Amino acid sequence: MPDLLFEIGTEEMPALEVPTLATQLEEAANEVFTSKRLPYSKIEVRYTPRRLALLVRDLAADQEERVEEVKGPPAAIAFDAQGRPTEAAIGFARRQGVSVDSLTQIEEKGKRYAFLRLKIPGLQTVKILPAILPSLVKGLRLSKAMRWDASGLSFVRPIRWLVCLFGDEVVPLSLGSLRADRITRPHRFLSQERLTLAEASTYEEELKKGLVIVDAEARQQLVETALSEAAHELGGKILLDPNLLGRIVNGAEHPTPVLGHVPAAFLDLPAEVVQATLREEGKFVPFLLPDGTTPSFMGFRDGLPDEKGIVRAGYERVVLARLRDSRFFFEKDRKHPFVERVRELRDMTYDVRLGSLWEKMERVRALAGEIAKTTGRGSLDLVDRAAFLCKADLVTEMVKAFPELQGVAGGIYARLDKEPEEVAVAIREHYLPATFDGALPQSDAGVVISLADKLDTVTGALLVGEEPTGSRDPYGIKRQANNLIRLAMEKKVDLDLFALLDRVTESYTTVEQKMEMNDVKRFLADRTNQILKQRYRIPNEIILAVSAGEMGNVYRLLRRAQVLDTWRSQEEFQGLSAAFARVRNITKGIEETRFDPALFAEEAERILWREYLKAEGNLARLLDAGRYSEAIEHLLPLKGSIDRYFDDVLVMAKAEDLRRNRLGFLRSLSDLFLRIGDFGVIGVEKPT
Amino acid sequence: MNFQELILRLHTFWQREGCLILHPYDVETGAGTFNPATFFGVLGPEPRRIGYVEPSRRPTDGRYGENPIRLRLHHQYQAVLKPPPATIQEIFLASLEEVGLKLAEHDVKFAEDDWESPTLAAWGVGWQVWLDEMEITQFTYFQQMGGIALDPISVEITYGLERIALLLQEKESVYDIDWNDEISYQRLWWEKERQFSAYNFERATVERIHTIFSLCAEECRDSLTAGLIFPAYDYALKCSHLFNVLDARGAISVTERESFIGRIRDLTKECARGYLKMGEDDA
Repeated sequence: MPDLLFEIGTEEMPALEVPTLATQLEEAANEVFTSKRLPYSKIEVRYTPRRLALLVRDLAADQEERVEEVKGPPAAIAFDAQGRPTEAAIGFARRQGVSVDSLTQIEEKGKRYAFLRLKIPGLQTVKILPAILPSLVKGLRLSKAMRWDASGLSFVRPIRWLVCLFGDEVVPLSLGSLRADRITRPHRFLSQERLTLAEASTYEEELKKGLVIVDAEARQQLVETALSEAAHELGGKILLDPNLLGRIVNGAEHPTPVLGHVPAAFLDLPAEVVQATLREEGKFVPFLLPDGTTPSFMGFRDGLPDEKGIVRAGYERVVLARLRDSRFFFEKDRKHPFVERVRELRDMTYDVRLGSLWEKMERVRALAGEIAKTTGRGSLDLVDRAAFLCKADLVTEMVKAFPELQGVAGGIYARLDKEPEEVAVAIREHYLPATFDGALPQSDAGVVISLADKLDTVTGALLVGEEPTGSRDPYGIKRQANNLIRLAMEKKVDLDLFALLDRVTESYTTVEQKMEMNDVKRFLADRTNQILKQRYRIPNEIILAVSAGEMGNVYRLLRRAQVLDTWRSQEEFQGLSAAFARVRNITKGIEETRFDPALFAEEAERILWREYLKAEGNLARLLDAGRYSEAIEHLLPLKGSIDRYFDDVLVMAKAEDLRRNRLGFLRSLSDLFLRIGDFGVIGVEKPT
Repeated sequence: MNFQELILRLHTFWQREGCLILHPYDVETGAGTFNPATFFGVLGPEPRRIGYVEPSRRPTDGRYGENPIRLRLHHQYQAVLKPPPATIQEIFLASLEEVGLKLAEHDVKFAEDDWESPTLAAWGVGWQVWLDEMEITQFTYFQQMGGIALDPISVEITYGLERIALLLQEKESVYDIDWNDEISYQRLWWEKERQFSAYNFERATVERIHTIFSLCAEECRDSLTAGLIFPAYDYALKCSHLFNVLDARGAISVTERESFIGRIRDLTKECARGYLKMGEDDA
C-alpha cells in the first residue's frame, strides 16, 4: 500500500517549538486517521526549522466499510398479519435509501421492531484527506500565533508551500492561500530552488539530495558526534544543556561543525563568564579544559564544511566582540565593592505585593538564621553574611547581560572582594538545585540559604494567592517546592518546616494575605506526598500511614516511610498493624488523651498500660534519634496485649467515667504509634 | 565596498522593489521603527512600500568608542512592505547578495526573535538574521502598532549597516570602516561616541532631563487635544529619547521604569488612534 506525505513548508519556525509541533501533529494524526477508519501501518513525523512533514505508512486507498444499525417502527405497525410490509415499513426503508426487502426484525425488551443493518461503504481516502489534513494544521497549539496574508490563516511563522502526495499522486487540498502540489524546497543555500518529488515514500532520500536532513535524530547524532570528537581531541568537557542542543539541532536543516578559539587575551576572565558569553542566544558550545579554562568552542553552520575558514573567522569575530562586552560589564561591576550593591536591592521590585528584593533578602536572611540555629548547620555569622549578599548580583551588569549567571557572578565578586570562601560558595550554591534532578548545594551555608530562599518564594507566592492550578504555575511554585523538599530530604536536613513557618509569620505581616499559613503547609504536604510517590516510589498505603503523623519534617517523614516500607512485608508487623487498626478505629474523633490508671478495672488494661509505659520511654529516645526501625521493634510486643485488651475489655462501657478513661488511654496509645505513622492502614489492601 | 556605496545599493535595490525612498527623521529615534513613515505607515489599509536610512540612538549601548561593534548611534536601513510579498525572505536574501555578500560562503540563520516595543505598544513576530552568528538584520512581521491590530500585516526589514559593512570590508572594528574611499568611520564618529558616552553615562543632568521629559509629555498631550497628531508624535519621540538618556545615566529604578514606559506608551497609542481617526474624517 502506498505512503502518504503531507509537508508544510514554512519560513523558519522557532527551533525549540518545532519538536512540540511535530509531536502534536503525530498524535492528532493518529487520532484522526483512526477515527476516520483509514487503516495504516505507522505514522511518522519529520521536521526541520522550515518544514513539518507527516508520513502515513501503508495507508489504505479506501476507508473501511461501516455498519449502521437502524431501528424502525414497531413490527406490529410495520408488518401485517401475513408478515408483509405495510406503508410504514415501505416509508421507513425509503427514508433510509434501501429496498423494503432488506428489512428484518429485532426484539428489544419484549417488543419487536422493524430493523435494518446498513452497510455504508468507505469513501476513497483521497476524498477524505483534503478535509482532515488542513484541520490537523489548524488544530496545533502554538506558543504565539501570527498572521501574514489576507487569508487570515495563523501559524507560528508564514506557511509558504504545501506538498501532499498519496503514493505518486498529488492530493488536491488547500490551506490558507496555498494549494498542495509535489514541489518542495531543498536547502536554502545549497541546492537549486525547487525539488519535484515523484512519490511519498522516497521523501527523506530526495530531501537528502537537496541537502536537507529531515530526521531530527540524525541531525542530533551528527551534532553530538562532532562535539564528542572535538572534546576528545581537546581533552576537555562539553558544556551542553538540552536547550542549547535543541537550538542547534532544530535551528538548521544541515548542521555542520565549525571549531573556533577564544582569544588568549580573554582567558583571564572567569571561565563561567566566557562560557555564558559563548552560550548566549544558543550560539556556541563551550569546552571546559582540566585547567579550568575555556579556550575553544564549537558552532554549527547550516550548510557544508567551511573549507575556506570564512565562517570560523566570522564566529571568532562575534565571540571577540561579545567578550569585549563581557569585560566591559565585569570591569564596570568591579568599580564598586560588591557589598555596596546590596543597597540597590531596595530599588528593585521583587513582586509588587511582596515588596523589593531587599525585603525578600531580609526574609531569606531571617529564615536562614532560624534554619542554621535549629539544625546547627553552618556558622551563624557566615550564613548571615552570605544571605545578606546572596541577591546583590541581581543588580550587576553581568547578571543583567547573562541572567543564567545569577549566583555564579555573586560568588565571583564576593571572592574577589575577599569575602570568606564559605560565603562565596554559599552565594553561588543558593540557587541549587536548579532542576529537580540538578546538582545540590554541597556547603552547609549553601544548603541553609537555598532552603530559606525557596521556602520564602513558595510561602510568599502562596500567601498572595498565586496557588498553581493545573498546568498554570506562573511563579514556578511547584518546581520550587519540589526542589526545596528534595533538598531537605537528600541533605538529611532535620528541620520541621511547619514549626519554622510558625516562627517567621512576622516576616509576612506586611503582605496582604489571600491565603493562610495553613494553606502553605497543606501545599507543602501535598508536594511532599507527590515526591514520596514519584521519586522514592513509596507505596500509597505507606504514604497514607506516615502522613497521618507529623508532616513538617520532610527528611524524617521520608525515613519513617522507608522504614515502614521495609517492615510492612513482615508477618509480625502485619499482626501489629491489624491490632493497631482496632485502637485507631475506636478512637477516631476522640481528642481527649487524659486517663487515670486508678480507674483501670481489668487486668488486661493494666498489662497494656505497663507495656505502653515501657514503650513510651524507649520510643521517645529512639524517635528523637531517628532510629525508627528499633522503635518499631519496641512496639511489636504490644500486639499481644492489645489483642487481649480487646478480648477482655469492653471499651464502650456503660459507665461514662470508665468509657472516657478507656478512650483517653487508647488515644494516648494511638498517638504513640502515630509518631511513626498510622500502622492501621498498612496491609489493608494486600499487594497484588 | 564603502559605507555610502552600501547605502546607495540598498536604495537602488529597494527602489526596484517599488519602495518610496525616504530620509531619516529629524527627531532623535531609537530605531527606524520610530520614524513616523513606519509608525503611521503600517496603520490603515493602503498598500505601502518604503525604504530609508535611520541613525538610531541607543544611549545605553555607548562604549566610549572602545567596543568594536557596539555603538551609541548606529545606522539602520529600514525597508517596510505592506502587504509583504510571499517571496519576501528570498527578496531580502537577494538584497544581501546585491550588496556583495556571497551567502553560499557564510552561515545564514533566521533565529527566532519576537520583537516588541513597549513604548510604541507594538509587537511582531520574526527573526534576527544571523550571518556567521552575527546579527545583521531584524526581520519582523508586525502584528500590532500603537496598540492597534494591523490589517494588512506589514513586514519590516531592519539592516544593521555597520555590521554588514564590517563583513563586506573584512574589518574587526566599525571604526576601521571606510565611509567613502577617503574618510573613515573613525574620523566621522569616534569622538562623537566618546563624548556622548561620557555625557549619557556621567554628565546628563538628571533633574533637568526629568523636567524636559515632563514638558515634552505635556506638549504632546496638548497637541493631541488640539487634534494635531504629527506634532504630538514628535514630542512623544522626544520623551522616548529622554527616557533612554535617563536610563543610561542609571537614573531610573525598576519601579519607575514601568511607569515611564507606560507614560510614553499612552502617548504613542493616542497618536495612532488619532491618525486613524484623521483618515476616517477625510473619508
